[in-house]
Amino acid sequence: MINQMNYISLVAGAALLAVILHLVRTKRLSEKYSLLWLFSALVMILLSVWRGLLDVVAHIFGIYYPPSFLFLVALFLSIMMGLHFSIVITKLSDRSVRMAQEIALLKDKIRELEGKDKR
Amino acid sequence: MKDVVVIIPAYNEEESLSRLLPEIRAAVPEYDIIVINDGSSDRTEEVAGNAGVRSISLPFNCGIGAAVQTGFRYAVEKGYSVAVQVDGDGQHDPGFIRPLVAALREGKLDVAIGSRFLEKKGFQATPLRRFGIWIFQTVNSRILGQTVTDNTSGFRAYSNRAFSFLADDYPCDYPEPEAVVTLGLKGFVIREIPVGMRERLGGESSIVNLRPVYYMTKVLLATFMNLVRALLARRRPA
Repeated sequence: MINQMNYISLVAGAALLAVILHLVRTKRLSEKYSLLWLFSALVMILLSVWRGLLDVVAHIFGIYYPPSFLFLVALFLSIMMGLHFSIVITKLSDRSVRMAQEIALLKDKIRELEGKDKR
Repeated sequence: MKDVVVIIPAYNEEESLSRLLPEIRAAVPEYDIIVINDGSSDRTEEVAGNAGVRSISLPFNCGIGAAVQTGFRYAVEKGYSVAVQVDGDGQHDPGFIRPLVAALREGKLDVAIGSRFLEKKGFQATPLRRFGIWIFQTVNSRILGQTVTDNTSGFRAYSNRAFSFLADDYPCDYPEPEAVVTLGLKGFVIREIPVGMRERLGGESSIVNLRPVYYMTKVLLATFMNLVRALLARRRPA
């Protein structure tokens, strides 16, 4: 038995998958960072289509209304995604500061060398 | 090896720098001075140039820690034996630069921290700030087994060994209390020297609104993480 909830998550999952593939194709999203998104979309689609799997897993988690397990999965995936981004941002901001320092020091060195040339 | 470089981090400090730089010049004429302009939108760089002081400009605002670290990296590259940090807001009385460096050398220290609380002379900070400072004093002194009264003071002299270490590892924002713990746990010799501080000569403090809450939380978390890392590192070789 498939109810409305499953349809909604199926459509949402499929739309997400389409958008991600489109973004990767047009190079607005790199393959590297699309993997976690693709995985999320596929998990949502799988759970929407394969009702038996949803029921079994929901039962293991002690959830009486299986479709609500979809929410739990979506929430978990969103949190993982957010954490992933925080890690990436940390790395990027560390690198941008290091790069800014390097640029500042190099600019200073260029000015020093140009000053020596004039003499 | 070159002698001493005075590193001055400055973010929009045109007002105070125009008075501070000549003061430093007069106090320690034989030391090199370098202003690290942290992406200022005012005439900070120009003011430094007019005072005949070399300035290094970061392309955008990176935070005082990143600015000071730029100075450390400059000092490493040029091979200075001592680096002194003096904040650009004019709170640090340049008259104490020489005593700080002397204490560093005579005591064979790695870090000489200028403390406004050892002799309780000069500007003592507002009560709320003193409360924050008291928390850092309690936590850091406990961790290091050594009383450090003025952990937020950015008025410091570093040995080549110490600033070379910090050139690779220094927090971007609110770095001072954390650096005390990092250095102390690494075995660098730290001592405080009494200095007088003044109210800022101009410009505005960066620690306003909700920032104190962020400041305290961030620094205490970083301090705790430093402690955990040190404990784990100590256990691993055994």
